[in-house]
Amino acid sequence: MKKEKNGFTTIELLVCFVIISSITISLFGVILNYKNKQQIVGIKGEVHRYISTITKMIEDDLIHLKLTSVTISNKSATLQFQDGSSKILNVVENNPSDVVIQYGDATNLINYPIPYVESLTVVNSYLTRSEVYGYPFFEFYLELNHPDIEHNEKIDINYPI
Amino acid sequence: MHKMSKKGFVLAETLIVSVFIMSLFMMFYTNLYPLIGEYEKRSSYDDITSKYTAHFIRKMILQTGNDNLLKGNQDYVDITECPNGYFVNTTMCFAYKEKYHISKMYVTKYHIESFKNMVKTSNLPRGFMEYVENLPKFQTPSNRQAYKRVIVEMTYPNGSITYATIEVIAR
Repeated sequence: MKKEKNGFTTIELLVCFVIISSITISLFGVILNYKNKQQIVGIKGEVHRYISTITKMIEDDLIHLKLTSVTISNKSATLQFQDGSSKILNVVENNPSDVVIQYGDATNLINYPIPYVESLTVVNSYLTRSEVYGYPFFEFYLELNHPDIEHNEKIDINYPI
Repeated sequence: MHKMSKKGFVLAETLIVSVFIMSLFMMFYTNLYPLIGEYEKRSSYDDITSKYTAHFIRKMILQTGNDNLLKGNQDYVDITECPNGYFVNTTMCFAYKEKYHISKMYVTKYHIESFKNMVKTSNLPRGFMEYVENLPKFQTPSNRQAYKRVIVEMTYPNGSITYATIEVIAR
């Protein structure tokens, strides 16, 4: 009895395996790349949320309560407002990856630590009063660095006094 | 005894299917990849610092009490060089420009279609063109002629560029 020729030949199977393997390998690279990008986007999102929260909180006070004067001592500022109230803004740097912004009334300072993300560090921070063309500005600057983020993200509040 | 059929795929069939699947993946990849770049680009659009900067420019413009920010058939005005009529104190405007790293400022109609068309045919930097192209047209009812917009571009010392827009209601 003649044996029936049924199914794949070795060559067909080999070619198939090679093609499927190459697709899998290329897809693995793509998916890994997406995974890394997704992690970076997550870190960026976390940093952006932190920056937005701090910026909005301080800028809203500066705009609505109207800043009249500021007293700065190293990394601590006392902001005086038009209605006679005042708020304190401190930057407490224990180490570059453990930095806390403190903001609020003197009796009720609230801590806002930088996000707990690995390798996220503060590379520069200052509170200052500067003049540009004779116009005084209060400036609060805090620059955050992460090796996976192309440009350093920053809190950069400038308010005319 | 009947002759058995020759079952299974031949090499040509396997190849065709593989090429088809590969081209599907390629299409998927090429369409999805630019979306990541698009997301990264948009993170520099209307971020909180830029929005407050636009707010301060708007505040300065409103201090003039100028109800007629665009004259006649003007669709937009370039106010980058702090022109009189848009700022009570031009020195103060320059101080703000320097402090907030402002590299471009425009006052436009609230409905910015004509501004979009101008930007499309101009030699303005690509980033700015893409930002303006990305903006909605901000359609308002015709009885709100006093509604204008300020569009601001900030160029920081580290090379990053951000953009923001905010409405200006002159009266």
